[in-house]
Amino acid sequence: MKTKYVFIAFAVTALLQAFAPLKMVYDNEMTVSHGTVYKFKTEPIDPSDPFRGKYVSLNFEENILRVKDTVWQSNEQVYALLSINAAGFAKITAITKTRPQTGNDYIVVKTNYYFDGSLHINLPFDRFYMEEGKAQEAEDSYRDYSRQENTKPAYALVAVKEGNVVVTDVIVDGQPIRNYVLRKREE
Amino acid sequence: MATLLKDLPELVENNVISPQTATDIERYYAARVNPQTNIMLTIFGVLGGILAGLGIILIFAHNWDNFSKTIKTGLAVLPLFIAQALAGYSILKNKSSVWKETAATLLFFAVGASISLVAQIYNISGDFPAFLTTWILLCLPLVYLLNSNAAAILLLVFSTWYSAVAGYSLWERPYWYLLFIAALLPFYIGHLKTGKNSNLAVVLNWLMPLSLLIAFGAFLKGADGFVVVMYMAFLCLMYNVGSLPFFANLKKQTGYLAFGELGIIIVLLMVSAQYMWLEITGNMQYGIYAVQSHFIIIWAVLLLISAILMFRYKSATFSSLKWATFLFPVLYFIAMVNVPLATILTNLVILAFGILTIRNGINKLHFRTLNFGILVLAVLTTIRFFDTNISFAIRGSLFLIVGIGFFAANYIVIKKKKEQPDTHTHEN
Repeated sequence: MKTKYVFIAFAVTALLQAFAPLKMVYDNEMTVSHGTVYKFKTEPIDPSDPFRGKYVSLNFEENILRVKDTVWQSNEQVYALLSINAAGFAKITAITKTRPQTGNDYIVVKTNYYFDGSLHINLPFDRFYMEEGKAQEAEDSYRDYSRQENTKPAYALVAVKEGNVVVTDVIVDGQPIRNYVLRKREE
Repeated sequence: MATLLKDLPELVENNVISPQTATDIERYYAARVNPQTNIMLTIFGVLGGILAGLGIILIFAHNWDNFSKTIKTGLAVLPLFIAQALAGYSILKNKSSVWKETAATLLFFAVGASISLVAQIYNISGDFPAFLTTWILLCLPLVYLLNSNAAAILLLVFSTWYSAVAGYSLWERPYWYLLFIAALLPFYIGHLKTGKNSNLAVVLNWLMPLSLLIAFGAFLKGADGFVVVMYMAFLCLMYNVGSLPFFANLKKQTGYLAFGELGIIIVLLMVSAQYMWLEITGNMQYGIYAVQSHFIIIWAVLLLISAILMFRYKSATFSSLKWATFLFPVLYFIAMVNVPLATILTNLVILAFGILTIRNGINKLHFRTLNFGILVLAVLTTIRFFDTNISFAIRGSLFLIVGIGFFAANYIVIKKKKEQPDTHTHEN
């Protein structure tokens, strides 16, 4: 009898354990397939994570906003409204402290610091995981690429849906960073 | 033993012993042999589980490009389902602790691997404390459902890791840690009740205080110099808990007493220099500053619990170090008004403690106690050596006295021991 109850409790635990990753898969898959894709200009650099492997760290340009309101605390959760600028890249148009209702796409960001009319924010996506080995090559080849003249800016493709975001790819010189690394290997 | 078991049928046949006695003897030996082999098997099972689990995580971290997102997602949850099946099977069939411990260890890492890999697939950025929190919460029930010591130790270690990452590198108060510890506490207390000298109890009696000691500081963001005062109260409480008859009379020493004793002495030696009292009270730059009220409340509660323990168990094995509980707050209040006086008194307190410990060591013919007292005096003298405002003559004499004292005290104990040869059991 006792075994039965322990097993039922275990079954519930096991369901929760399975639910956690599967819910993550579902939410992000919905964002990828139904969300709007924005291009965020970025610089890829390479660190590592003990559990999740190598990634290129994304250093976004779009992280400063001129604001009129001066009452901003550090590390506060706020909402950034998105639009697309003339060059086709993502642009943050406004920051609100309450969740936007309908219409505009938005992302959930954390405030970094406020100084002299400018609010610095941390974007909620700063990693793009790559195969071990390719991450370092990606950083090296990007550094070489950025030194050349008349380069096209690198950017991350970010799917956005109801505040949830998924980085789907990083584009360097007009092609996915994975292919870019492979092309550089052949050169 | 083997021959005895072989002879049992013959003994029963000839009515030397009853069949009941024969089964009793068989059972006794079976029970006596099993724990040994079981412990070894369990340790190997757990080590295997840890290695396999970490292996899975590392292999996935390589992140193969050739695998599609679907295959990667499948691989992320596959180890989870296998480990869950193993754990479920060992519960249903009520398998041995070897099975349960191994399954719990594997499942623990499989949960971490599945969350990690999904995060990798969708490039989810790291809020590392949040990741650890999810992982720990999903695995806490395993401690009780599989009655797993390995899971308890892993969760304690990971909870401490969480508190350190959140508290020290991100400056967030790691409130989840309180819940994790509260969830593990019944398991720990249960083991202290049933087998207080068991291997697990010994391990947890060191890991638990170490974890608490690390996590305590993670909550003290914004307390500035008062951190030292709060840590002292916490160390005294830990020391007083370790001095309770229950812990003090265990066969093996506990971390409560050891960390408490060492911590109290280290903090006292730290504040034996005047500038430390200036820092703590804020007298250095700002004059005395206001400590946030919630820190004062926690401090008062720590002192109160310490006091209750001390006076409730008066006859227990408390040493002179227990008085630090009250002496330190007094020194702190004096330092608010007069820092030089507090500094002098601190040095006298350490001096008195050193001398009392040495006397205690000589009386009990206990080399460890004796030399701990001498070590405290030696460190105090060394620290004072660097205070330039004491003249060389005084410093030199201090060193000379400590040096001579070291030889004299050890000589006295050796001589006394020779006179009473049966006291060697006290040595350790």
